[in-house]
Amino acid sequence: MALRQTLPAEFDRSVVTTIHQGDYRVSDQTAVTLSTVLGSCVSACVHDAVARVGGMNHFLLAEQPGSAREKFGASARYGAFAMERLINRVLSLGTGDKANLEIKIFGGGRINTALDDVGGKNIDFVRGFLRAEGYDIAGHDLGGNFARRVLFKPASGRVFVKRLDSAAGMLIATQELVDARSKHGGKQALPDIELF
Amino acid sequence: MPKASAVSVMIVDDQQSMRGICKYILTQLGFKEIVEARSGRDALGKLEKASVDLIISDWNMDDIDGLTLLKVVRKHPRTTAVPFIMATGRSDKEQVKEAITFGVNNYIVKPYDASTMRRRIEAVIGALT
Repeated sequence: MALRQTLPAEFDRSVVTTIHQGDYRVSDQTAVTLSTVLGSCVSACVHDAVARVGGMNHFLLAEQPGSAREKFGASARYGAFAMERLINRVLSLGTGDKANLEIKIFGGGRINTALDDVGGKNIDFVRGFLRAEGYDIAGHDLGGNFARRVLFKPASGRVFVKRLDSAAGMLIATQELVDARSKHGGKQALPDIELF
Repeated sequence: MPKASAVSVMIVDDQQSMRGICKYILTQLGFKEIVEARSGRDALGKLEKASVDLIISDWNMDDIDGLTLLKVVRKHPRTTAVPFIMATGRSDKEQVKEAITFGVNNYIVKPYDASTMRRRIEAVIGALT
C-alpha cells in the first residue's frame, strides 16, 4: 500500500468519526471517514467490496499472549471479540459473504524501545486471528517505531495513513496502555440485562 | 449435581477463534466431552449422529444462525429437551426475548470469562462438581 504525503480530496470533504480504543464503527455512507490514531494499538479496516460497506475497530491487548495458556486469556478474548463483532457487523450490513471482505490492518508500532514490544505482540495476534479465520490481509502498515493516524473510507475501502513524529507517538502509546488496562484488565463487562 | 466431565457439550460457532476460546474455558471448568461445530449446518449434521447434553451456540453465523438452529433443535424429538445457551455479541433485550420464545435456556454475552460461563451453565443444568 503506497503512502502519500498529501491527503486525497475524498478524505478532505467528509464527515470524520473518530474510533477510540475499544470502539468500532460500520458505515455505508460515502461522506463518512473513520479516523483513529494508533501507537502500539492495532486497527482493522474491513470492507465489503460488493456491498460497499465497511468498518474500523481499534484495540490493544494489554496482556501479551506468549504461552499456550495465555492464547485464550482475557486479553486475547477481548481482541478476538473486537475482531469478531466488526466482521459480523460488516457481514450483516453487507452481502454476508466472507469472500467479499477485504481486510487491512494497521498499527502495532514499537514506540518505546525500552519496553516489551507490545505493538509486535498485537500484530502477531491480529495476523494469527485472520489466518485462523481464513482471511487474507489485503493491505497493511504495521510495526515501526512511530504512531499513525489512519483514515478509512468505509464505502470505498480506501485508506490513508499518516506516520506521526516520535514525541507524539510516545504520548499516544503511553495513554493506550493506561486505557487498555483500565478497560479490560481481566474484568469482564456485565451484561445490562439479566433475564434468567 | 452433574459432574462436568460427564456432560457432553457442543460448541457452535463459525469462527475458529471463538470456538477455541469457548473450548478453553469449558476445559478449565472440567468439561472433557466437547464437540465443535463450525456452522449451524455442521451442528445439525453432528446432532443427527450423536447426542449431547448441552449446546452453546453463537447467534450470528453464516448459513444457519443460532436462532434458526435453536428452532430446529426444539422441533426435533431427540433434541427438543437439550439445554441451549446462546452466545451473543451484545445483550439485546429484544433479541433475547425472541430466543426465549423459541425455548433458549440461557444466554451469554461475549466476551465472557470462565466464571460467567460457569454461572450460565449451572443455571441451566445445575451446580457442577
